[in-house]
Amino acid sequence: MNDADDARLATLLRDAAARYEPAPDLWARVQQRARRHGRRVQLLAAAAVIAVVATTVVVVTRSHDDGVQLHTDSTTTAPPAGNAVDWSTPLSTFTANDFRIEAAGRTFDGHAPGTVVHNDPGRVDHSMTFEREWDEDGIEMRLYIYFQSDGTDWWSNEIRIRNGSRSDPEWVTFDGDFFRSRLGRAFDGDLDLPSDADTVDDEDGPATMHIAGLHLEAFVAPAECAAPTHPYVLEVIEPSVNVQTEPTTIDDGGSPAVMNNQQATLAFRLRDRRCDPVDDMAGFRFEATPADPAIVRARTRTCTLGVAGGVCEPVTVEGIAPGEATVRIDVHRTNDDAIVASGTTHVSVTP
Amino acid sequence: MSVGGAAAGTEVGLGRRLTAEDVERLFEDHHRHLVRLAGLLTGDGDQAQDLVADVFAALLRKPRVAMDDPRAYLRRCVVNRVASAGRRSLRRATIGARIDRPASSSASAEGPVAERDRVGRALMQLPGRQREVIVLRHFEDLSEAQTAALLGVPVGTVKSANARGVAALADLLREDPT
Repeated sequence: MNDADDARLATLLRDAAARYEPAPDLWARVQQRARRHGRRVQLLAAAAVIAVVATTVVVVTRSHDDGVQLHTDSTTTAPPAGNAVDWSTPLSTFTANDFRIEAAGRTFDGHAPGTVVHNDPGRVDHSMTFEREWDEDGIEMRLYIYFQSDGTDWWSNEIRIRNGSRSDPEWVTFDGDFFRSRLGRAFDGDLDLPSDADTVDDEDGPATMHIAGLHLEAFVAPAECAAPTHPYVLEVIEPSVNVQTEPTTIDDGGSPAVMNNQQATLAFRLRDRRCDPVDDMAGFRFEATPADPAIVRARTRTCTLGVAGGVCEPVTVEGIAPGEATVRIDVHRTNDDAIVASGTTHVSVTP
Repeated sequence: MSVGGAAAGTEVGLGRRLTAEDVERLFEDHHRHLVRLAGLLTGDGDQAQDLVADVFAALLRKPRVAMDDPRAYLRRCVVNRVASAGRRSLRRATIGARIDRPASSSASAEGPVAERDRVGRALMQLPGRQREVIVLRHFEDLSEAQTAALLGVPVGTVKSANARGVAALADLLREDPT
């Protein structure tokens, strides 16, 4: 897609969006909704006070300013006789002495057969996710943690859980700054997310999550770093991509726009022996070799225009014919042309 | 830091909580664009207004500290709420799109209104992720990396969703010449 096509599509969308005009009384609706919710909270608060008097409940929260806020404490409390979990993956470490979600009037412990734990690897210097999905007594539950990194620190800016509803499962979202730690180091501590914290963005709660003795690390270095076969490690950011054999034309009755979906750029990150990202790519060149040139064509460029953290997009693949093919990427050191790292990407070509 | 954006130019110190007046200024500066964003994502004007009203109501009742980039923050709130309301809204929008579609085309139906309805209908027939990516990339003018960060997906997912979405949009517009 070139700049003219981009502009054409943007114009189409702006025109389509123009049909949605805000109502004149929208601000009045905002105020009304805020007041209505306030009354609901007062009722819930009164109920909560009664519940606290009736039972001894220890709420581990920390007060700031004028509101109850989330509690993330990097000093671990004494491990309770709890529900220990280990949901580590190759890209993230997640263990805890106790885990529970309180939602929809019951407690979820996260234990279920056939549980899926998954990471969207994202970009090592930018973002990744931890995604856990399970079915607990027929109720769909999820825990998603969205991690960010600036190349020095990692943290989470958003945690989502499900509201525990059997018939209408919805997200409960906690915004904030959680677990902030140096890259390569784990966060050790407790996490207590009450759904009435200032940071929660939810209409469907209440739902709370409590984790004690949490040992969490995101952006764990790739396994290749543990046993490198070359002087450097090539981290393949996108192990598989999809391209098409023909460009796509949008004909909206005006001037047609041609979208070039035949090509995709491939992103990589080069790491040294210590698994540190190589920021200066000037001393390296990339060579891309498709396993089947009848299906995929590849071309390379220098990687001096990479983004921070050593991620760059030095290879462009182009679909020639429908099929599946791998593309081998070799990284050469320019001063002696030795191959110092290698990797592969899978390319699916569709009509 | 500017809470109200460039037009309002109201300075609020970092770390201080937003007042009701701050929220009202944010509303003045951003609500029209947010309604349009929500409209493109849901295909439902009423629901778009409800979602945007919920976003600002949440700001009023749970005042937050001033944000670095109000537009980005509000955009993310809208996208999150659309995702949260997803299944119900999509069902309603799809049905609405079918009902709204004219039974037959005529020369008088041509024009800007028919045209934007046609694009809106096509957009609503895309899978949710493709629609999100196309709207964020081409309406909000976010980069692939910004879109990936907002949606919490890899850049590769954004690239493929964009390519597939654009192709599907082209097919849908070809099939719907009205």
